[in-house]
Amino acid sequence: MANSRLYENALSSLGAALAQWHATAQRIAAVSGPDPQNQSGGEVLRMIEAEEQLSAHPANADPVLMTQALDALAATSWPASPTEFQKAYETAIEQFRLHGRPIRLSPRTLYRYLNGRAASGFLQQLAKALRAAGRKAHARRLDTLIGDAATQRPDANWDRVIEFVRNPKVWPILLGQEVPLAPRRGMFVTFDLDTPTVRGSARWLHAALALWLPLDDCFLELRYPTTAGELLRFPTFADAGWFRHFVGAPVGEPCGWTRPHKSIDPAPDRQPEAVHATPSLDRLSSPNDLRAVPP
Amino acid sequence: MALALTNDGRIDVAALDKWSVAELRDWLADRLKGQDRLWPIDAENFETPESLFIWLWRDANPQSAFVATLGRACGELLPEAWGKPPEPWLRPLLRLVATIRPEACQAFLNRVVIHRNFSPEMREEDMDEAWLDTLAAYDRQSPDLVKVWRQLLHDARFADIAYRALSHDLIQAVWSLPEYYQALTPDERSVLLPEAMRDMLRWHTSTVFATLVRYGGKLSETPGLCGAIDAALKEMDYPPVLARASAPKAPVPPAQESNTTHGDGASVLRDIARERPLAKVA
Repeated sequence: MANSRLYENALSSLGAALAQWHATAQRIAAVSGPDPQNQSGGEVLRMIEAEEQLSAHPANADPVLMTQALDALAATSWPASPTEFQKAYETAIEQFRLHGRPIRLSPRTLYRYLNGRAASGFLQQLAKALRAAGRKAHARRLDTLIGDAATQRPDANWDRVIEFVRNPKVWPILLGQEVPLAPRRGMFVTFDLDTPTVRGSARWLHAALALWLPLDDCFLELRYPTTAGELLRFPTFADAGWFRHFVGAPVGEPCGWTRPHKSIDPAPDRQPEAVHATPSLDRLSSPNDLRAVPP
Repeated sequence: MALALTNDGRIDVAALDKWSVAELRDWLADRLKGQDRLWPIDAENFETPESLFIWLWRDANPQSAFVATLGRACGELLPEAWGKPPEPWLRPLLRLVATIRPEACQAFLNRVVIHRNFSPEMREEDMDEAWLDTLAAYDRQSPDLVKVWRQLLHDARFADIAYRALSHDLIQAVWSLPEYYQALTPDERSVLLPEAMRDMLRWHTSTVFATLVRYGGKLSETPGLCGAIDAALKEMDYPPVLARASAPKAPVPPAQESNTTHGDGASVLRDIARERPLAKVA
């Protein structure tokens, strides 16, 4: 639990707002089935209270912003439209995002993994970048390859798409377009703690990184070096999008940890995890830092 | 309707067989508009609105009621999308249709492409290209459309789309290469011609090479094309095919219906049965 009195005060005032939001969520659930994010306001409140890694520094924790965001969320009562509800919800998450305590480790290389649907979306961002650079025919070709890969069963095969992106005549165009590696301002990464980890298969990655839904397609790996002054933070429940299965690292741990699924035998060891500000594609040293991890 | 889930938390695709066209259309429309309350879009991960339906379609039995219903739902949304100024949900809908290519949408798309009655607003936002590109994804193109695509090959704005539509048929793919090549900028040629050759090699290699040789006369009329084709093949470790070609000008292929029988090239093989296949360089 963060010890800052300021933070505790903020939690106390958030309690009322969250209780109101909880009631809102229950009403919405009664009408529309499961809560869109599959969790209730009460659970979020418990997770806030259990969160130990939120920074106690006022400049980072910013309880005023937290309160404002959650007040806005609580004030969004039925029959608010799903869009309004979603907007308030995301605003609240955004206020907490990247507020975890700094991690005191300095890994040399960071790894980000995208499952099939996320990879498809990310690669479409690259196509959009090609359009923005005035290369419409290139963009259409990339879109075609993405569509072809997405329809392959049993395993999406991104090799052909990646080969196109790596083309020495395509890659420099993309680097000139500031393509972010994630849609938000913060993103999860993993890294090697002591010895290099072999992240050889999508099934292993899915289990080791404790990704939510089981997906049997391949993953897209983005690998890039850390830079001087790169601030890695402990992931908090807000970084995880208030995902109820997320558990923050207790104080005293060197970094965040995944809780691997036991879907493969032997179950993988837990993996280090952190969040940091979203970089753009040019953080990759070379196009070879983009690769498909096969099933 | 509520979504049925499997024990491991996925959407139960088989249960979607029970959904009506209207129910599926409403869900699809909500999702494309970013308002899906049944299965929220994963905004943390660049998930696009249409990708869930692509994945469900991929996981479903091709003969299932769900696949047919999804096609009809798309077919109902397309005319609705056409009648209005371009809306943000139209692009994801067209991407979905271009990917899963439902039969129920093809007649409408044919009409759009044959008449090309695009509003200035649609042209301004490049939606005319998006509509054409959607139909170009279909493997089967009617003879009327083949004629339209051949005309569009001469329009720099649509040439690559037209070539994509024609390239579902090997003979059309080879025959249209000169117009396609001329329509591309030098920068586009260096990227897209090797891509075209790579696509062509979905057919049997010897069939492709024999077809290139057969139409070598026409190909050689476009300066630089034969060299570019050979260079693209060399990058894939194949020997030059056209450097030694001096075939007479081949007859114009009919605007026959394209088909999807990639890999057999039966009619071409009959024509070139006596030709010796070229070996891949070791």
